[in-house]
Amino acid sequence: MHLLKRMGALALAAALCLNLAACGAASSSAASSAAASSQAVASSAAASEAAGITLTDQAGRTVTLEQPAESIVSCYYISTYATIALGLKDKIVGLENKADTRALYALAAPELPQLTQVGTLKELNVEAVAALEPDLVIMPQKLIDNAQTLEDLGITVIIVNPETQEGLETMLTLIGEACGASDQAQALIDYNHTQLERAAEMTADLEKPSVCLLGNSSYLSVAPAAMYQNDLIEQAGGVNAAASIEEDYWADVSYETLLALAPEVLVIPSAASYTAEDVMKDPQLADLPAVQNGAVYTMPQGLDEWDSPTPSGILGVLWLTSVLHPEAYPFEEFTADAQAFYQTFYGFTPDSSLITK
Amino acid sequence: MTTRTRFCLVLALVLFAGLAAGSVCVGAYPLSLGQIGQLLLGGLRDTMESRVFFTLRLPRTAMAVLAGLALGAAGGVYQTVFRNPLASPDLTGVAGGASFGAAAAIVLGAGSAGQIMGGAFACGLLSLGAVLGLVKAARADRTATYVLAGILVSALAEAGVMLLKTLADPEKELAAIEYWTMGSLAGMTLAKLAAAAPPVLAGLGLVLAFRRQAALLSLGDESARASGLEPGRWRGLLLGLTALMVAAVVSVAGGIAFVGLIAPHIAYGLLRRRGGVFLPLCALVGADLLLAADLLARSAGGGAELPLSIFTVLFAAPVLAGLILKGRGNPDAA
Repeated sequence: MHLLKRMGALALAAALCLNLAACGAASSSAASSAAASSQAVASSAAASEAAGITLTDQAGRTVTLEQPAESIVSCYYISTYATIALGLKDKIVGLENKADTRALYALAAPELPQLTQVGTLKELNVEAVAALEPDLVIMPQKLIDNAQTLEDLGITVIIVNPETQEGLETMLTLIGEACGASDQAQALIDYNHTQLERAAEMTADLEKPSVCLLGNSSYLSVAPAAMYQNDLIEQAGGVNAAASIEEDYWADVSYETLLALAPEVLVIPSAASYTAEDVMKDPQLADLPAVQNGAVYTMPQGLDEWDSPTPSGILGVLWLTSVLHPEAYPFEEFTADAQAFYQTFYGFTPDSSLITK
Repeated sequence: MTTRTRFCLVLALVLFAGLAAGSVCVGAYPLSLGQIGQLLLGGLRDTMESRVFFTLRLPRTAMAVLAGLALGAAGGVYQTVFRNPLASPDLTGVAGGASFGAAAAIVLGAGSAGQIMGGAFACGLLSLGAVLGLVKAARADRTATYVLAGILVSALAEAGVMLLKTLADPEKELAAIEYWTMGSLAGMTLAKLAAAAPPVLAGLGLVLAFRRQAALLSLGDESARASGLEPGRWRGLLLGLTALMVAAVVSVAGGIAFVGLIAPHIAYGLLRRRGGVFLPLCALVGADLLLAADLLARSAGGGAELPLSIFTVLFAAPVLAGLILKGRGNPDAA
């Protein structure tokens, strides 16, 4: 009997531990992303070492390649997008899971989802990567624990961390150098800088509306000041209504908080699980200035992820500039710019019906 | 009613009044005490302030109260009917099962509160049935058997939720499920309150009305029969009613950990017995705990909403640690 009672107490303690662990694990999904943005400096030593490439990746690791990589496994959709934008899609031999759900692959590289899919941001199938015997594996910071395992198998790995505009540019430079596509990388970075300056000039003297960029899973989550999306709003000539929220990732908010933030414009990201109509019809949000103005916009769906630091993220800035300041930058002009961008960097021209707001 | 009983009830009620007042006054939308006074007296009609107060602030407070009452009373019923102090909606698998049911409804695309509530209720009852079935099959009506069976069913439900998380779209549903399984009242509206209130109130009313029967069941099947109660039927009815309440709460507020376990312990610690006003006091303590947790959830995150379970587990830790230390050297203590 005593034994049974003790078992009971032990069982309770075990349940407590499980519950506490579950609470702790789920709370900080992206706290690591800020810390992970190590100031990586890509440095090519090609000049000093004939045909050898030495790089410092975005985790501060020194990586050496004998020659530009001819076969690549990319474990993150943003790095895979980058390889396409740098003209390297033919070198991809394996990529991240769920590639068949991404519209951009269907448009720019329909052959890629047919390749071996090697894992998610949570779990990498190391054996599947090894079986492909790539010259180079590009993986995000979140998968860094697998880097040494692959290095021990003799496979070269670079860690990338495209969580900010700066991180995106560093990633482009790194991939360009590792794969012999530095010129394309520089061209894309230059395009980014030119367009950022253009957006700043167009909106310099205009009134800046307050904007909330909503989360994918619910319109009761917003992008706070610490996120990339905050920069996107500011670069497009807006003010982030949620800048005061002290979070470093999507912040869950109540209806009351959203009403208190009182954004004049709401932006729904392209992968959202709800629609602008859902927001407009929610009676709790009827008093929101954005809803009263009819200013609830959805980033184009079925094309790309412009709300994230992807190689086409600059189009998110231009799209929002056009949405917030149509008098300075008409939507037709933006549509033409976006089509030209995809033709230049991805080799296809999206139909104007895909470019919506 | 003894002085002690009266003191306990007054203490819980005073705390309740204070926390409920705080809950009505504190929120992200700026509403001054003067404005709240005017609103309560029927002023400021058709203003933004009025809509925020009556469709968001008050329903949130009301749901915190209802959820706390329901979880506290459910915990009290479990501990009484199972005749062991470790039984609670968390450990008997009902809450885990209800969470799984609601998460499944979300991933399978059911949008309405009714469908999610249905999923939570069906899976909550199934889990309870599985635990009772296991205990019956083991022919061991003992604390450890219930707890182990509950942990088994909870673990299965947890595995199911993990599977759903794997299947869920990482950018759309995953964050929602993760946040939702930790409990929150951030999305409460008048409509959601209206959906959850009837089952909670009906369950609560009946459970409190049957508190004498629950107390009789706690004396054992033979004693219950001697008093004219059919133990199996009454146990089933009481557990079904609590499952109804818990499932209704989980379907709108998500998983809220440990309130059902510690509220009865606090009530027992105050009253020192499980008869009389024990169940109403469990419910009141539960409401106090949830009102306090919700106040912190909405104000401690620097503008962002925090999950309720962070705070309910923090409240539970010292209570349970106290119980463990109190039972030191006494193998019969919980």
